[in-house]
Amino acid sequence: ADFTFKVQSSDPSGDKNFQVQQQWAERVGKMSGGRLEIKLLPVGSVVKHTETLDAIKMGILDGQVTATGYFSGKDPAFGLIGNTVGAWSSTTQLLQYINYGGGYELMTELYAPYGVKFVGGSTTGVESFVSKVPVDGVDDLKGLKLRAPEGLVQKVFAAAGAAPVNLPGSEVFTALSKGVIDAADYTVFSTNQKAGMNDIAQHPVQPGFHSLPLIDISVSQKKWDKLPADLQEILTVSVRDFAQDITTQLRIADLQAVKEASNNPDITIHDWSAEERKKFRAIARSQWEEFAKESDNAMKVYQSVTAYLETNGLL
Amino acid sequence: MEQHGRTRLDRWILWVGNLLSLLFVFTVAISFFEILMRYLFNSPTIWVHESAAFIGGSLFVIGGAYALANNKHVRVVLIYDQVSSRARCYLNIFHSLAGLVFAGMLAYGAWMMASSAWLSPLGELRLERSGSAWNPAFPALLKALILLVVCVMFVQFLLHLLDDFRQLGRLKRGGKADV
Amino acid sequence: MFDLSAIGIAYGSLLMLGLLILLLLTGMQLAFVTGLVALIFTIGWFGVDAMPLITSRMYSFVGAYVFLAVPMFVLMAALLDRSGIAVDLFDAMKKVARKLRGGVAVQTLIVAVILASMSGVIGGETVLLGILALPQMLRLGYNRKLAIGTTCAGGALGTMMPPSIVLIIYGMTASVSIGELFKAAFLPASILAGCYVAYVLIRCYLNPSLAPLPTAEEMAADDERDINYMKALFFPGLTVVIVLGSIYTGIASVTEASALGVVGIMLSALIRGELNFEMIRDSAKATMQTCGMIIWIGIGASALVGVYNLMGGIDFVESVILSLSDGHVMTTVLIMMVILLVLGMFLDWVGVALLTMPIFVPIITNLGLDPIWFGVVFCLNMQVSFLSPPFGPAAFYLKSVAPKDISLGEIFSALVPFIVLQILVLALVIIFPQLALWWQ
Ligand code: NA
Ligand code: NA
Repeated sequence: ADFTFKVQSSDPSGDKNFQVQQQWAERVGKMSGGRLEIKLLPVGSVVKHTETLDAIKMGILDGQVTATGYFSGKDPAFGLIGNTVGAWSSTTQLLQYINYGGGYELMTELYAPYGVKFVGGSTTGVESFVSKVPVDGVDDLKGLKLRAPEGLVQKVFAAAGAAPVNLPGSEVFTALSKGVIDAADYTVFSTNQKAGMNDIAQHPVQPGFHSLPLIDISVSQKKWDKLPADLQEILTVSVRDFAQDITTQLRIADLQAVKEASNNPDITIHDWSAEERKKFRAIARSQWEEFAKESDNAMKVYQSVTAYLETNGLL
Repeated sequence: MEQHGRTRLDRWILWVGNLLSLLFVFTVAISFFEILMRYLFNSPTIWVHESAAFIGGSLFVIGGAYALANNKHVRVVLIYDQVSSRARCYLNIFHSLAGLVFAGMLAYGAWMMASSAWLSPLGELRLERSGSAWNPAFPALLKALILLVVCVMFVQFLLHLLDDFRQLGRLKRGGKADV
Repeated sequence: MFDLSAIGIAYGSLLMLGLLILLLLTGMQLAFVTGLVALIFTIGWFGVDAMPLITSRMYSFVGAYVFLAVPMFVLMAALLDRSGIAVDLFDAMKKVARKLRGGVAVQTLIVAVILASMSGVIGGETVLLGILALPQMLRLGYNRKLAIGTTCAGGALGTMMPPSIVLIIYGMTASVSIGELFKAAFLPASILAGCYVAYVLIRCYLNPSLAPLPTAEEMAADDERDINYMKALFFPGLTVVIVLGSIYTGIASVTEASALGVVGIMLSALIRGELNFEMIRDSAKATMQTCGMIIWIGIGASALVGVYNLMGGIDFVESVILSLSDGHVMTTVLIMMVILLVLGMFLDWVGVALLTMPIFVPIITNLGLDPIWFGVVFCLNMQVSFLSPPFGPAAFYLKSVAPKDISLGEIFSALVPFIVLQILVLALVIIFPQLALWWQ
């Protein structure tokens, strides 16, 4: 290959997400006629997932496939755009914002000082909400002991009256089954179902209402600049296709898992009304606003996202 | 516990390290406090986990210099213990030299890492934070501490090297080495 | 500047291995050997600009919350060592065990298991048993090798019986639940301990001269020491319940449980009237020392792994293993076992875990095997590594407290039968994964 990019993922190699990313990498190789090779590395194989931005800047890595929110400690703006908790009810809403609603330009601007080129945005699926007790709306969140990752997610849930607990992902199952927590922000429905989460917490909320991460594929600006125009275009389009591919695959898996779960008489799937979702979004918005005060960039994100949501009647 | 640093710096590191080691007991105390708060008062803290991890991480880094000062880093002594004291002295010189290179390069890497944790890409002072709800600046602090400790280790290796040469000289004059 | 990457990953891997062994044999500190090799390859392969890779790995490695369990367990062992808890436990057990042929050896193993259920590190326990049990067996005229082997192998159980820092580090690198790893390790650890006991009993039955019984005078002398059985058994029991109970019920994370364990031991020492500042200060110092040593080995190994991964090493080793085994599951596992056993002869367990697990665990999961089971298998491998020469930590620890006339060579030769037993149990768990996974 004329160009080789070492790209570190924020997913472990056994993960379904990693496999879809691997397919993307292979596709880039084929589309470029073998001129551009993407070497995908699993999470933590070179640096920790929160350090990839620095690693690209210093020339250790050439790119990343990661959740933007991991860089919240570097700039709260990344936390806010990385998971604008409560903002999105479907993957198309987020992708539309990124590709046509100003998100792309904003991300490009935010990454530029790090010497990192934002190639494109993607996401996984709206996370389903794992719960042992029926939760049909915002009021049911009051006093709920739930696991949520630190940061904006915790703040929003706390603002909604819940009692967020901080636990590593690997301990969620045990904590739920022992009753240490009532509910959890975990991951998409199909994965939860496969992991047996819905068997021990039989009141999942699906589609979820709280969390949809922005996944970004970015590369070193220096290496990007060396690519001829056609390869730059191939890479850009491949990422747009990747976003389509991964969200669709996950949605199909989710639909199958939902079907399987609805056939199980022990599991009750709860779906929040548009009304309740909007209520939750309003609570979340107050927290976005708090978050936005922490840096100028975060304020830019807040203004860009809320403007988009308002124009589209989502706020 | 018997402790003997080779150089004045080593003895100083041991003294500071002994003092700081009590922070391990402090992390026990705050972890216990967190468990009490969670179960007895149903109000978990937001600061214990991150503080404990930060204190622990800092002590781990310092522990490297501490174990070096006390010559307690693990070695494979298969050959090292068998050779003559003259040969062992040459080996020690080699180890100190290698350590010097190691610590020196680490210091360079740590400098790069720490500066990007303390300065925003535009060059203004902005400490890297953890990004959690509490959001302390521990990442920036820990990275700076790593820089400090590897610099200290560089000087440690340098002083060891000087001492090694002193030992070698003593051996050549027919005396005995004390390392 | 010379570009090392020109030699390719296959020769690069060989060069790396060669350099590691060469530097290790000079007696250079293990932590600095791995770190230095990582550094040489970073600069040689990627240039000076890639240097922050090493420090970035260092930062990530030391900052992990779950790692905090390591100093906690070390602190527990250090406090235990300085209180009379273990001595009382041992003496209380002796009254029951002494009439049995080989009884003191069996009792040593039982005490080892109880201590192992409180603490999760190697070292503290071996030293403790070396001070408590070994002199008694030697005085009674026990066969030297049997006594040495029992003490050493028993002490090593500290990291096989949960809680265990080996399992914690494995759980971190493989991102599986540490609580579940502990559950899975329990039965295999008990089987291993059971095998040791059976071995001692059988040998003593076949050859009674290996373990003479105490004379009436000796027994009478022992009886003069008044032991409060309740007190002797209560505190260790309480600590075991606190540590393991809080982990198994999910009340506390492993790190918190280990902190509870420290509180438990301190409280026990306080009630026994032994707790003082001197003891706490000395234990904290010992913790600093041991952690500095363990964690820096981890830092070096972690740095080396990062560079090797960036060089494309994961794919290389994976393809080598898979082509050697031709995709056959059992052969793949066996190749891994051989690699682990060989590395375990030369490297510290932290190094072995961090070097191999990022490569092995994905292969294991891709083959459809359970990473929890593999964690137990790994842990058993590390049991062997503690005893196997030339780098056998348990032997070193015992040597540091054993009578002067016991040489390292004698210790290692005494350990041979116990290594055989360990490999036997290892094979058993590989052939019957249910032994680790029966509770699922
Ligand atoms: Na243990
Ligand atoms: Na060994």
